[in-house]
Amino acid sequence: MADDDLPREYDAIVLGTGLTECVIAAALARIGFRVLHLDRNDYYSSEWAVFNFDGMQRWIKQEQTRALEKEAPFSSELYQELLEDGEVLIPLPQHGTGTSNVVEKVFMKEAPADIVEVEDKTSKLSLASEAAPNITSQETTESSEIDSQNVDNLLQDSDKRFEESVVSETVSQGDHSTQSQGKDQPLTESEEQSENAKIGQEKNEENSVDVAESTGKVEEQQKSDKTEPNYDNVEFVVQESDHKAQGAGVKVAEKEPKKPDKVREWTLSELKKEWRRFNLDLAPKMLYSRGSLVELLISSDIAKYCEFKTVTRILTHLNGKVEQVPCSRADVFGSKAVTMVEKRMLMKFLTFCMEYEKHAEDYQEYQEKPYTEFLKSKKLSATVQHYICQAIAMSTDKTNTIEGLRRTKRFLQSIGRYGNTPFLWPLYGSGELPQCFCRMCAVFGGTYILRRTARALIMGKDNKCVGIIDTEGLRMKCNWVIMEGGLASEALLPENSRNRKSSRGIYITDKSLCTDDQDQITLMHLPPANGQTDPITVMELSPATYACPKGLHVVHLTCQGCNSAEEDLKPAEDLLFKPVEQVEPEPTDTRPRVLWSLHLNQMDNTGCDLNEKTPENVVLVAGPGASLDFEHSILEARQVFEKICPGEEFLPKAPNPEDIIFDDGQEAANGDSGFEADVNDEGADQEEGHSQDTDSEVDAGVAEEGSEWS
Amino acid sequence: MHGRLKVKTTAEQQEAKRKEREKKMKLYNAATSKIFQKRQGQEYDQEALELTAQILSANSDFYTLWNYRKEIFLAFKEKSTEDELHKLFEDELSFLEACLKGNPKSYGCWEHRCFVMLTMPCPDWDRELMLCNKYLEYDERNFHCWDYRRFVVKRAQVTPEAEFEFTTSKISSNFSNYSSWHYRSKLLPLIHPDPKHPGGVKDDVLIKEFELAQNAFFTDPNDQSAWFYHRWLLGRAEKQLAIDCVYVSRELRRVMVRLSKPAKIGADLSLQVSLDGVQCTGEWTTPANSNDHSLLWLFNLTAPLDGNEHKVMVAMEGSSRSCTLKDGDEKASSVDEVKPGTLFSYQLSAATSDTLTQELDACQQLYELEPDNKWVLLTIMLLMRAIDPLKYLKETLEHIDTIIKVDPCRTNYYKDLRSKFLIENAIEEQGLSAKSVDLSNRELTTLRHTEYMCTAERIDLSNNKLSSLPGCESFQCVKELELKGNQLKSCEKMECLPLLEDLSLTDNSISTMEGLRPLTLCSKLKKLNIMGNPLCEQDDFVEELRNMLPSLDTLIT
Repeated sequence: MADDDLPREYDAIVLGTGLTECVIAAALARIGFRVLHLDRNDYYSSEWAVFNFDGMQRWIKQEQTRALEKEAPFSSELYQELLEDGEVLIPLPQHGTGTSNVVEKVFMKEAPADIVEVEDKTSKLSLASEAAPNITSQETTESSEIDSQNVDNLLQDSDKRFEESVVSETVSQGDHSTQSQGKDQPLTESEEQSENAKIGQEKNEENSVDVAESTGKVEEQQKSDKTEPNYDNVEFVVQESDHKAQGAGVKVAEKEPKKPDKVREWTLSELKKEWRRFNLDLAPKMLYSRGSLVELLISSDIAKYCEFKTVTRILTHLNGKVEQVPCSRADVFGSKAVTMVEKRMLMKFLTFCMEYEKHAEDYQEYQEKPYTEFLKSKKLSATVQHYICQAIAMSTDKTNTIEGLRRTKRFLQSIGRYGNTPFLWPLYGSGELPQCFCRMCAVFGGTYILRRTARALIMGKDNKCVGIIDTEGLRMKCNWVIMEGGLASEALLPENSRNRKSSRGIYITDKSLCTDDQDQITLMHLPPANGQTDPITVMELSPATYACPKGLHVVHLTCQGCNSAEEDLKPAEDLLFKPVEQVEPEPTDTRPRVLWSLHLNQMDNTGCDLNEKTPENVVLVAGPGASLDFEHSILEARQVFEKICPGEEFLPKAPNPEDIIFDDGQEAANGDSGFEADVNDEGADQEEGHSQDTDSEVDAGVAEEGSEWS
Repeated sequence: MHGRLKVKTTAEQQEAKRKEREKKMKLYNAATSKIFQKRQGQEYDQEALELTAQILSANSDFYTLWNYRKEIFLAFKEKSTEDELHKLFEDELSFLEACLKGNPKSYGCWEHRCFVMLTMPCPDWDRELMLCNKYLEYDERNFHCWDYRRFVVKRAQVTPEAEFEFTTSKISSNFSNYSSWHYRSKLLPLIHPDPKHPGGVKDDVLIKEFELAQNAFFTDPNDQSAWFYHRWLLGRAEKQLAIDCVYVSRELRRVMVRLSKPAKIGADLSLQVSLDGVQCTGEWTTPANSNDHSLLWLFNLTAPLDGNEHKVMVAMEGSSRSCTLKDGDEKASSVDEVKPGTLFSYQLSAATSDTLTQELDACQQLYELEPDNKWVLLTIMLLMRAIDPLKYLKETLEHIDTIIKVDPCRTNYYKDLRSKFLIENAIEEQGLSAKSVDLSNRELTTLRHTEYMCTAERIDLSNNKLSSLPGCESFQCVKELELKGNQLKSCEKMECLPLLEDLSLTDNSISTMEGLRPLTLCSKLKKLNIMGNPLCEQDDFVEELRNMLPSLDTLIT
């Protein structure tokens, strides 16, 4: 769609495609708002994004470029003719970013033949960011080494690659069973990551407008190397994890237990060859099975756009060893780490936690005292105390009893709904989820444009925003602006909003933290270090999540940021991984080796009121934050929605296709074109009939299990 | 707001749904009647298959149609080539799988699948086993599939070891699974047979299983499945069938026999009676005058027993017992006394006392943590009974009081259990040949093991809480029966007591003459005490009673 055909008036303009923005956009579109959703990036999900290895390389460059780039001065004269009487502009920063301290490190040889010693391949880049620590958009240091032309080229290059991958997706589409085909396609030279920016022929503007008005396009960006989601399950698609041993020893066992992989020596070029097989999240998060996001996905039926696996185990670090925490009934039953009596004590305590509110007398005197003391008073053994405090309540020595109990209960409530841990992991990465909501928004007429954002907000009289000037210089009218907090100018943000940050580390490793014969999805917490107050979150993703190719694992470390991510996470890295300096590690050291790592800090504004200074109809929303789950984002989206349309239903289920009465009116014809496509989709789903029934039965079975703690 | 979707109202939706349903109903009925017509005409063709398939995929519980399909397949089997048949049956298996997806608990589907597998040429049993794995993953407690699995396993030649592993994996993912535990109990004796006890399991394996069950009930003591399995592990010793007691009564010309376990004479064994070396002919009956399974059996001698010494021998295959009626004696009996504390424990376990003690220790430990759990309490009591019923009596009775508080819904069951324990102990203590049995003041709510009192002449059941006397027909020798202070409403079954002379029913709940009618058959009854019964408030009851029981010497009212 050319810009000329683009409507210039909306009910709401949403800037940034982080999860919160996307949920709000979908909720508004769902009840009939005309929504324009813009993102300045060429990918979806903003700070929540997930990338393949190639995409990650581009993102790293982009971030490091942005950090160094000088903001072009804003001149409102340019736009004077677009303004009406009394209107003024609030410029929005264009290069600002909530991300800082991006440092990539490679601990592999370049290529198999090379006899190069292990080296810090990207020392240049790390140096660059060391030179400008804590760069934020407002404090961009002087640097003219990378000119804007160069950046454009980079972006353009990526556009081209994006198109190519879309093409390959189309080829593999329609054949759901050959999941791996698309991924196995031989890579052409042009697809290989190239250090040198190619100079594109087309002008940037020409392919920068990417209006997605129908359902299909929205998801293409990130799905380029994935298959279509599988809509088998009406309620919720959760792939049953492989951890249930299937008739071991039976010759026809469906799932053969995986033989422990012989640790392979990887090189960078081998890794790059597999770039499509990576899904690396910037802000990985897990869903509580009974958390607000799962409930929302089900109630809105958006679950049909996504797939999940259950997190298969909770690990903990105890007495110098990494071991599995028994947290479900089945785990406790099977655990060899605790004695018979401990099993009872653990189960008894957990059952108590499920309804601790009813037994106030049991914990009253400990309420404000540390949780650990309360656990001790319950005569739980040291091992069991450790399990509960660190792994289940995900708390620290300082957490008080009432908070510890609250967290324990939250953990337990979600166990058993879909598996033996309380958590779900979104297949292909948690960065997929914002896009599912975008898809819903598009189905209900939302307009999507990537690589475009607002240059400035137009303020009318009464301090109300009447619209935006976009980066193409177009005036768009709207009643509401919802934007990612990281994109706001200093003038709009409260003073304390930049104080908090989260530290993140992404590691590609050569084996699991705790190897067994299954493909595991792991969650673990480590005690806080370096002046932090909250535990460090460790997630480990096996190839079964499509986070990485076979033979590798992806580990994500997250904690609240006190210093740079590198400093904050060093103690955890030392604990979990083989020392990188050591070329010949001790043979008894069974820890995984890091092959590649990325550190970054993200602004964490989940803890503050972002809208102290904003105009009444401009809403800032927080980024991902350091928390493990999505609770904050969903709560915030709901609150914003209620502010904008009080009393309206938040993301009700899309009506059944046959219940829709088609109007002759123009609106319907325009807005529903996308919906009709979806209608057909659903029709097709229903024809499959029986398979759905079975799954929902199974689901009911699982749900029934869920009552085990209540 | 503009652009909002217009959606049908609920009423409109319902109307649309109703119409849709009506339409479907019509189609369904039309197809069904067509099918019945064809079946009547014995038409076994492709069309019939298609029609039944349509209906069955909507409603797989329609048995008749599966039967029709069977007929069709059998007809096709007559006339088709091997290849055609193979294809036909393969299609049927896929069709069945589709039906099972919709209704995984359809008896008809699983049954028909068995038929197809048994009827088709070269069935692929391994694939069926895979199907079972899949369905048991969807729902590990689908007993239809467990049944089918056992059917398949027999034919796929899967080793019991592999199946045992399978149950282990199912139990480890969710141990609330009766089917898995039960399957284990079937597989263990096959894999690890105990050379000493047929049908038993080797000790070392048993210990591992005990541990597994313990793991389960320590994890969740309220889950019954593991307790039931535990109960199975404790087992039950099988007694050899033998003649435990022979009793001869000169006056009644009767031989009474007590067997070691209930049996049915004529079916389970044959018993020969010989009097002074001469084989007798006659009928065996139970004291209740039936021929059901029983411990006690009566044999009436046709020849009169004169005052001389007689030797009676009762013989069965492999064993015999004889008893000599001495010159001038009215009766004689032959019975082995058993070591106190062992008479009834066989019912509880065959396990070694070491194992039992270990189990008791574990349960005691759990009891400390879970003082309110009925399963722990019950298991502790059973273990104590198995180990030493006399030594543990006090604790057992305390546990009964606790369990009644914990589980009041089953109060009467526990009270009966308590009665059983007390009666068992009384029998053990007073001996099997006691002439007088004292069971008074024990709060008994029921009677058990009355067969072991068959030779007692005086039985005191006074001051209990009996509202009936189940099994009292076994009191074959009782002359004096003391029932004072119970809640009896009638003298049911007392007509079977041939020697009863003195009956005390003081302070019971007899309110009608009808309740005393059985006594009319007790020809020896001389003394009856019915003081303190509601009946006594009736006018003229004394006279009526005298008329009904004319041979009575003493009637105390």
